[in-house]
Amino acid sequence: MDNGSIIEHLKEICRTPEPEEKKAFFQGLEERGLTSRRPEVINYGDFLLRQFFYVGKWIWLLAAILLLCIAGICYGNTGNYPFALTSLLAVGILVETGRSFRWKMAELEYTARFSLRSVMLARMFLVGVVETAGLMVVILVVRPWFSYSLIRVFLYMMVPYLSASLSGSVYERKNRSDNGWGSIIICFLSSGFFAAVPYCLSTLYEERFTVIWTVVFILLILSLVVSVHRWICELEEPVWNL
Amino acid sequence: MNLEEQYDRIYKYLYFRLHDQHTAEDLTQETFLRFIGSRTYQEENRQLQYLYTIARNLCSQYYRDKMIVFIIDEALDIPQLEESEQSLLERIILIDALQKFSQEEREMLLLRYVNDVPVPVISRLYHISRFAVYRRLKRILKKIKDEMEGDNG
Amino acid sequence: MELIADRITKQYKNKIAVDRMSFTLTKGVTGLLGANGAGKTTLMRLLCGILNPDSGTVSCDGMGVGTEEYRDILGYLPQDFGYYPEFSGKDFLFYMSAVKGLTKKDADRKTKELIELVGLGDSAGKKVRTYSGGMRQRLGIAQALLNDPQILIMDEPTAGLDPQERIRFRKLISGLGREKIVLLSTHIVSDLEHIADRLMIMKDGQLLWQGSRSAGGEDLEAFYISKIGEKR
Repeated sequence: MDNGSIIEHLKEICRTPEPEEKKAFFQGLEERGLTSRRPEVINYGDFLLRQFFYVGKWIWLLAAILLLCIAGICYGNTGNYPFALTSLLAVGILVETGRSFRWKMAELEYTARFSLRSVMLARMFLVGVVETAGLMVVILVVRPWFSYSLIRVFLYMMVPYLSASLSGSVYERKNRSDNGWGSIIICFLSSGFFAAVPYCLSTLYEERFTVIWTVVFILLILSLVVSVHRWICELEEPVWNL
Repeated sequence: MNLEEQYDRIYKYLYFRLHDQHTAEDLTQETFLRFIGSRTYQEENRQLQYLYTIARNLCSQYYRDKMIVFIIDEALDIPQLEESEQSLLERIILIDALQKFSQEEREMLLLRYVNDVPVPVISRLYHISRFAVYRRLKRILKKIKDEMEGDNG
Repeated sequence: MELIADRITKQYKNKIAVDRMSFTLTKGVTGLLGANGAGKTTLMRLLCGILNPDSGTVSCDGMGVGTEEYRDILGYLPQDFGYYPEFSGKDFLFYMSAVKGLTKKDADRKTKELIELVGLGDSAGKKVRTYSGGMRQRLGIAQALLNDPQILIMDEPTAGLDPQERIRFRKLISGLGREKIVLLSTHIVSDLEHIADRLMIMKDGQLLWQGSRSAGGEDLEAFYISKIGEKR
């Protein structure tokens, strides 16, 4: 006996008496005009799109200025320290996550259908995607000024950005503050670190270490996902505890 | 989503949970009134999930303090025409086999194979992964098969 | 439609804010009375899913608090809320509509309707930061109603309203109470005198008394004081 005939039998077993009031019920709905105008909820795509316009304008401005600076400094001097500037890009995302709390909108957002979690994820996602896209453009522009392959420029740019985002997200999860100064300091520290590496450990930027950079890059991506996930899950309690 | 088609399915679902034609139909209508009166997603799967969530909630409310028994055996009372003796026998064995599964497993069978509820919707209804739904359904079917072949010799 | 709280408890480090409270709310206005610090805000946050109870459950028609479906039928006015600095009254409502998942068309319609309802018609386009306390409160009431909630929970909704606004608010609430579960907290007894159908009195995280408004008699203030004074 195959699955098909079992399912056929199952359907037979599950026969029911015909519903008696179905016709009248739908007629009644029709008459009251209820079948045609069901209010709809926007889907996640629409939600994202609409959140886009509520991301603080200063974040886009800051990102644009930083990206221009990175491109400009790379043009003037092809040392390895300009890569450190990408750490500062993370300031935007990290400060943005505290926005709901800073302006006391968090409770309102928390009880709305899409909830504070979606609002924060949406903002992180939007800012992260736009900044990464901007960084990609900068990478393509500055690549000819370096003697490195494209993938290496990409890794040198992304690793400082991701490390700042990761350490900032861990910090924000554990000691959330309304002003975001902690995250700003972390981003500057991370930037300082990556600015110092070319002077103290310049060998790291040699081609044979590309594998290490790749591994670090992948690890950072994975830890960032885990960290953000935990952050979002732990969002409620510590925030409103008196 | 075709509401009239779903009416039959929700009714079937409730019928097998409540085993009373009139209560089942009352709750079916209540389910649809709530569904229509509420705002819900545009995606069909999300709508379907919501429909079953309402039906299930109403059901457990109706039976708030009673045991929910998902009865499948009495369905045999429904007159069935032109049955060969062989398939009637098979059905009796199947019903027997079904008794050995948990309430939730039987409910899952009904949703998936009788009501054609897509697996992603079932996975969200039970808060388990799609993979787990596939695995459980496969296991149940396998057990039924073993049972029936064993009995048939 | 019933909102059921079943033995919910919430404990902070060294203080029990809500202590095994059980009650059922039905359509109509329920007033939650209690002194400051009695645990009213914690209770309301538990009912809204902002806080998770240490034990016990909250559900409405089988939908657990914290689910999307539950939030969809919930309207909440917190005691203290803010706004993004660049927002006008209208922007604020549009923003909340987006988070509540209303389509653009519905958001337009509801926003217009509610601005009229709470009497902000002339200042809807002005920045929220120029609003008076009472206007801000009315804006908060409007946002709570955007999604046509079945459950409306308001924490100290009359705070900051002037006497005229209070009268207007009472009218609005008694209208809403006919078709929704409305729970509002206050420490001002006279706010409830004419609009509450049911009363709950809270002290030190416990439910001292619950019953219909009429059981409180003519002088609600005296009734409340006598209940609060009683030793358990």
